[in-house]
Amino acid sequence: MAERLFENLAEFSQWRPSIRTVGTIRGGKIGSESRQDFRFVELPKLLASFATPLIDPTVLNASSSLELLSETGLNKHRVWRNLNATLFSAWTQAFAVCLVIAGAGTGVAGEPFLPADDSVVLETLPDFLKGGRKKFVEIQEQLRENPSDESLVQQAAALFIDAGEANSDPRFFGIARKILDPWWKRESVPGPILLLRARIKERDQLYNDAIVDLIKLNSQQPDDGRALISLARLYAMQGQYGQARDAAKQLEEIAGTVAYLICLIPIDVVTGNTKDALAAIEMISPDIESQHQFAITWLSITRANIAEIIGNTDQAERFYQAGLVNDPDHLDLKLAYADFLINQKRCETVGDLLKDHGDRNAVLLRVAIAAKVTGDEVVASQYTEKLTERLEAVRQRGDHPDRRISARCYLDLTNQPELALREALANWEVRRELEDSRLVLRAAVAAESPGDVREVKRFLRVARTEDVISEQLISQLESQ
Amino acid sequence: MIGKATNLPIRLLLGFCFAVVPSVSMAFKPSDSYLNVDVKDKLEIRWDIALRDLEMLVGLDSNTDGQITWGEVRRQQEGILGEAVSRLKIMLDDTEVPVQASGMKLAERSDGMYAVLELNSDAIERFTLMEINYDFFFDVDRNHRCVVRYNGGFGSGSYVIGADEKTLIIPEGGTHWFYLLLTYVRVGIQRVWSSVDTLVFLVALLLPSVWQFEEKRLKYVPADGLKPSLMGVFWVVTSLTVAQAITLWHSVYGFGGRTTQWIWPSMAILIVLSALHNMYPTIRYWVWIAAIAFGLMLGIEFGEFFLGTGLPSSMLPVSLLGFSIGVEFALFSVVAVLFPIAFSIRRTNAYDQYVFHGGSTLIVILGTVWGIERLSGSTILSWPAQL
Repeated sequence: MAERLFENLAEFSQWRPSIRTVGTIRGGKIGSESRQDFRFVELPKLLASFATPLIDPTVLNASSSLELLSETGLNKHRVWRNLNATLFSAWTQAFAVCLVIAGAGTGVAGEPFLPADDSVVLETLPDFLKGGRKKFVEIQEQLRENPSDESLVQQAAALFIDAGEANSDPRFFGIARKILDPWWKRESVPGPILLLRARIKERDQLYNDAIVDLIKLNSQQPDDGRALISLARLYAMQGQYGQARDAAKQLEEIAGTVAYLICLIPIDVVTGNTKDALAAIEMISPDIESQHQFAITWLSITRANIAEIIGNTDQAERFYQAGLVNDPDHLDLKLAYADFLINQKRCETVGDLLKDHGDRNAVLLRVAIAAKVTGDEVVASQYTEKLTERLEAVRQRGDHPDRRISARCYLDLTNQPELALREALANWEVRRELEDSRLVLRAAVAAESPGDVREVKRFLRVARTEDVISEQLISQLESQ
Repeated sequence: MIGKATNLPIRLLLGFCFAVVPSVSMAFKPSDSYLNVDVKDKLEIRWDIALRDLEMLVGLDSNTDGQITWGEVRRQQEGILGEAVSRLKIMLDDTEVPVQASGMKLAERSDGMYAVLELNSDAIERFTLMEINYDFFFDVDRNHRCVVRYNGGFGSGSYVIGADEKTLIIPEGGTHWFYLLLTYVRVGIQRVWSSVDTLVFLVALLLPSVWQFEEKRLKYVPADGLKPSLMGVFWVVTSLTVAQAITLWHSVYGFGGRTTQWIWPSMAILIVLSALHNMYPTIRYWVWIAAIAFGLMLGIEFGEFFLGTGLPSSMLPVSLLGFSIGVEFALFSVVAVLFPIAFSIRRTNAYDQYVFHGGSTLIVILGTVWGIERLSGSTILSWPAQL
């Protein structure tokens, strides 16, 4: 394991100079956008993101609404402006972008205190900041010295986006967003920056905006597989399976069959083609097992998902177990398995399963649900409180928390099915993965509100989704 | 094996990503700071800033072991306070109120540990508007925001400051509807008092208000009684207010966003015509016509201001109502000062020659210059543009 990691790191750094040392950023040029680089650098990463959809972004950024407000027409007339230089201009400017949130507090904060000892550890920094802020300061200085150096900007933004994704930390996306600020609203943007912009928008769940950028990138550089993979993923996420298939097909021409099938299998799984998906898995398994061992875990998750969809829970259990034997620390796998266990009402082992993965919201949620089901009131209330505090903190800043998590929190933890249904439906408007449809149905069952899910039922029917869990929920709704 | 298999080294990146799942608690939301402003006999401010953000800004982890200890924070206390205080400016009614740091503690929030900065001002007096200029961390993180909790003497409110606009204006009473109403009454008053156009136009209307129009001779002569003159002024001013309120509400709720550049030269032309009409009266109801026309234009202009404020729609009705009340009050305050003087000297030659004709001539000249300026986009008078 350690040897493989070492080897991977070495090879990884060979292909990713931006990660290797900060010094390479200065005056350095980012790798060319050739097909070769795409194949060796970007495609694997994007395939990885296609295959690992379980870790949710926590925050839907409302910065676009702030920007909208700031663009509101202000009085530009000279006389008006001058006459009102004192009071009115201040009013106009201030209210242009300040969201007033009636009734909100300033977040739950503990009482101020002074530690007794200098050695008390207050915060553990993410990997990116370990070793000091020298790297960060250097990048900032270089950007200040060369603000219009596109390759520098591109490299620096990619560095922070990568850090954000690797650490699941939205702060890094804010830094990348700042770096890309001059290009954020431009129509004419170089391809690499378009891609970075799309990644940030996707993170903020601005899927349509991200798709616009990716289509633009695809028209600029039709043989750039990165845009196609992202497009396939985003279209599939939105339930636009026809477009997703088109993007995947286009990808096959430039990146080969494995890449195509990795994109296609998740689409087949939710469009009534589970047999095709299984056949495709069988087709690529030898390749993956011999050449791309990393993807064995992804295969395990996908096989388990298919087994769940067709109602073969024993088989699903075996696939999850096999995945855990292969990669015992894989968080996505563990989260999927935890959901499976919760769904099976086998919650006793969920806490142990996730105990080594910190207190991410996705982890807190599942541990709290499991604790509640098993009657561990202390853990359940403690984790629920922490989770709701976090969601409230996001609302206070004018954003929406990730509605997939807030809906599950209302549904499974705080017994507020009506709110859960509202959140689940709002989530479903932007994200239509099978998990999202199931969530709406579950919330509707709990809220005894079958009328609100007509669209979801129609969507599943049109997509020809074969999912026994959804079918059971729909039956329950109809009997209500 | 698949015929057209890719030779991508997919495992490299995925192997890397999968192997380095972070094990420590990670931030779950973007960067925020929390500003709690209490208004007492002085300003008492609590400002919570995440240690994560301070690490990026001033550097806390001095031994670069990836952990921030209290000792490291304490040693940087002066730098933290200096950096923070320099990024925050508070104004009360356009006068800056210096704040001093009185100490620093810590508090745990749901996404990590925060430094709690305790700031105080010297004693303050009553004020109408507090302006908070916040320029912290935006140069690093575009998504940073400041959640402001304001506790005023009469009310409270919560606000969010973002990178697009770093200034926040808070009425003294917070966002309670009653104080919002009072605040906008005051804003309406100040708007009229600071609008030279409106004041000059009002003077042009008031000059003949103490006289009466003789239609047969097409001439103004001094009025006989106080009551008819006063009632005439009352209704003319009220019609101006009502007209501006109509277009103000219509602009905000209806056709906002249209270009209003024509308003400014039109106002100047109307001022000129009104003053000319004083000297060469021809239309019996001119004063009414002019007041309503001016009011309609004024309302459109005010509407543009309101559209630009970004006020939440729930607050618009109250603020618009307060604003219109303020406009009416301000107009009558001018009448209350000028009308008694004009009425008492209405029969004198001085009023006829110097005040009425002299004043009207001056207004014609002033209005003409403004009209030329606004139509051509040039500057002729430095006044009142530099008021």
